[in-house]
Amino acid sequence: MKQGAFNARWTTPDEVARTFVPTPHFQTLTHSTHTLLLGPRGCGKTTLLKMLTEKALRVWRTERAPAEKKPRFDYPQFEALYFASDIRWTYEVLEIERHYHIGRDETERIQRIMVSCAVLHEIVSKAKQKTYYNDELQADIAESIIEFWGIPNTVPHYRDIQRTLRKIVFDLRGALNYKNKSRIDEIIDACPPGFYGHALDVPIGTCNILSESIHNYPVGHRWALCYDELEISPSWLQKEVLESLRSVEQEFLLKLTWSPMLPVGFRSAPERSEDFTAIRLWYSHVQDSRNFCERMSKQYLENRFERNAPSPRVFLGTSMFAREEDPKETDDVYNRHSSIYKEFKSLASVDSTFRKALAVHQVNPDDPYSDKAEIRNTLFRKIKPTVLLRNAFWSGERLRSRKFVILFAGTELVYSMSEGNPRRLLGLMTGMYDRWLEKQTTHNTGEPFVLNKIQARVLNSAARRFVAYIASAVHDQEFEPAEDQSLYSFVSAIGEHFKTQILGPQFQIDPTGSFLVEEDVDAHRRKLIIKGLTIGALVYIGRSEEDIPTRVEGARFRLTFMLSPIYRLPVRNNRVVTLSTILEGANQDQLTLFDRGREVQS
Amino acid sequence: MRIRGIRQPTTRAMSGDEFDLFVVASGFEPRATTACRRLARLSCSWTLGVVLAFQEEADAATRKANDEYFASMSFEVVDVSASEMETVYLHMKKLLRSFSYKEEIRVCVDITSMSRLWYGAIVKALSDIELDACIVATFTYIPAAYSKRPRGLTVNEVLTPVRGYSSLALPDMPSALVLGLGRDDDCGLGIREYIDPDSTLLFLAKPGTDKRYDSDVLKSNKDLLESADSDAVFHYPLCETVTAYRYLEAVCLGMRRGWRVVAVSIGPKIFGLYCFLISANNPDISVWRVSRGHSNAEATLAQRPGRSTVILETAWGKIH
Repeated sequence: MKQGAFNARWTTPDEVARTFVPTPHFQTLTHSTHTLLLGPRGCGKTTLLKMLTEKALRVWRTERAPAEKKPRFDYPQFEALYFASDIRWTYEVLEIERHYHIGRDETERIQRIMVSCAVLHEIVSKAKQKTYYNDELQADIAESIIEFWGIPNTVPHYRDIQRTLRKIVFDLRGALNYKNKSRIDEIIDACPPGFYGHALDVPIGTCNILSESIHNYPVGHRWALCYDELEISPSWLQKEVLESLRSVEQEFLLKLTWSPMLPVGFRSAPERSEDFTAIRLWYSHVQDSRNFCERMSKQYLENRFERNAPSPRVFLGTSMFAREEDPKETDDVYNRHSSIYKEFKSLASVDSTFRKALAVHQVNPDDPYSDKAEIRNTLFRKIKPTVLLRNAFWSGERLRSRKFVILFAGTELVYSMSEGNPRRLLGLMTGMYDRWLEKQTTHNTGEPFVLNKIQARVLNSAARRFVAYIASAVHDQEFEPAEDQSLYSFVSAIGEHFKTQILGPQFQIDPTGSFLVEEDVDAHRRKLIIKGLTIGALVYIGRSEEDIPTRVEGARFRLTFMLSPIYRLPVRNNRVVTLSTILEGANQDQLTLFDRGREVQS
Repeated sequence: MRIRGIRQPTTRAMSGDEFDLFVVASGFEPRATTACRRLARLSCSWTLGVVLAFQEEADAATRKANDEYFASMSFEVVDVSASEMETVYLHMKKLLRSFSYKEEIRVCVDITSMSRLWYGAIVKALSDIELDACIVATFTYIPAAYSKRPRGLTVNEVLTPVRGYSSLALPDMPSALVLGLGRDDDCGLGIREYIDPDSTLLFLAKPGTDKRYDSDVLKSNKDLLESADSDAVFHYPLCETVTAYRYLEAVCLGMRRGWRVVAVSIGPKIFGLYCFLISANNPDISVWRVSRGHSNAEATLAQRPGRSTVILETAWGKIH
């Protein structure tokens, strides 16, 4: 399995197009409006932006579209320019002030120059692509760019422009490293002043040159400037780009990515629906992502198996634990011959609190069956995952020490844990496929291609990797918090609280599984929640699929289902509790029966 | 200045060596004085000894013993915080300049108990100083005797570029993470997930000084190693410094043709030293650092010295 294979950031547009699964989100993105793509890491923001590029669309048009039964989206009426960024570059640029002890104004000028160099470098690559057939036109455009910006000592050739841009950055780095103030000033003064003007000066100015010079552009040709990872970029860049959603030249569209919380607090904050379209790229509710996950998994398997690709359901089987059955099915699912009936009965034989809960609803714990549809559709469906988890992890007096159980397996669980996040889903499917390759079992045995116990190992491993990621997700580069104030400890406190709801001494018919943030939440916790949202450890639960949070206070969140194997949680939103209730419980140093029996997690 | 050459002298070959400057660190580790004691037994001498003393660990019992030893050896004490680079950098430059009348300045630096930022600062000072003299800097490292693997997840509190080691290269190429692995459970995995590079190359010390260490590293990084391509996992010999350095250098220089390389070391300090040295000679290679929670990280263990002395001698000359 190649590392980085699921990361679209460095995947070429051609490769993106070859594996692209169109969604309604992409259709919206192709509209000629400013757009803000919101979502956690891995949710597909970069893929969607790259699909807007000419190269990607050409591959789609020639290689993929002919095989489609109907057009999957409208082709955009603009030309997209994708400006890459990543954590490494962004943080190195952000650290300039702290590392080199130079003033804020000077730092900002240097950052502006670097961003301008990066943007212009990319636009010159685009120009190269558009004019490869005409040496004279290339020279003309190169000369126009040099003249317009006043780039010194550069031969009118694309390669030389890019070389000069890289040299500016290298020279700045050298001057910063030697803390040579006069040399820094010299380099800044030698740079075109336009490089430290408004954030959009360079892309707009240069694109206008291309529009004027390349004759087969129609009048009114539009550009889409696609800024990726804007949420981690310098604050001046965020501000100027976001404010431009309200006021930028008509020929330019902005397609931006952002974390799951809408940006606020700018002097002229753009108004959603008037100034831009917000596209939400996460799913609060498990069912919402099913179709997308099904299509993506199906395509994945078709690409892997050259012939006779199994469906995802055949490959992975179904999950008794994660599957939400249709009301019409409940008669079969909960009848006396069913596995669920046996599970109910098994738990009732050891858990007196469960017996009591059933009795309260007039269900005989020794024969946990009901012919009333209402009981099956409400009570039984509600308690099913808790019963399964308690049977798996709870022995009546103490928690069982188990690394993982085969409860965590099946198509529905894989989809739920992925949260409809393409990168996660591909990672999980690849983990399953790699394991299958080792044994190459088939459905003839009646089992799924990948046995449940293998799936459970893969999913447990994926969950542990995600925990390691949370532990590495640094809160704030300027602030070294104590270990107990980390995002990891915050997520752990929440996870342990909800785990107690499921595996605690009392069977809960309606356990809590989501939390509400109160108005008086402190600044540190607010930052942790936003960080958790950004990396996908926390998920916002909105009132609808279009609901996007603008503030943490008053909002409802849950842990990602990716952590379900770690904290033994059902893949449901469940009832809400306040954050302060969770954290008060976490602060209390109480030894309970269940603390003593706590299993060691590997 | 740039590195013009490297070699690995044996400890025996160092017998009777005379240094102008010997820089060590004093902390809570019993290993802090080991290099000095071993060099003294070999009749090595130095004109000026400087001990960088951790401000944070003043009260530990072993720290007091270490301080007393260095005092008895007439080392000049410089109190520094573990995260402080600037003081070490400036002080090192000042010390080197004080010997600028010489044609060749011989420096010994024991990195065993230093914080990564300190020896990063020392390498930076060697790189940035402008002198007519050439500098021969010998780095020593005393690997720890085997101790049990720290268990449990460690939280990364800081993951950031090291000051002076940011390449600031434009994001026009994908990034490659070169990661020196250690024994903190899943620390490397978390770093890879966070930096999110296009390519990850893993370096493990093998052979190390104790097979149990080798086995621990494999266990602590099981998921990371399983998800890596086999040709992206490299073994370097812990005690063969020139071989290890050249190996890492070759990989980094090869990768930088198509990737922006960032190096992170969470294993033996000697690997971290290689990263700094390679970056000093090739500023387009970034070095980042990790600072972990103190509850159970390897860095918090007071480790006894092992039997080996790992040595790398570097010769620095002017850039022409």
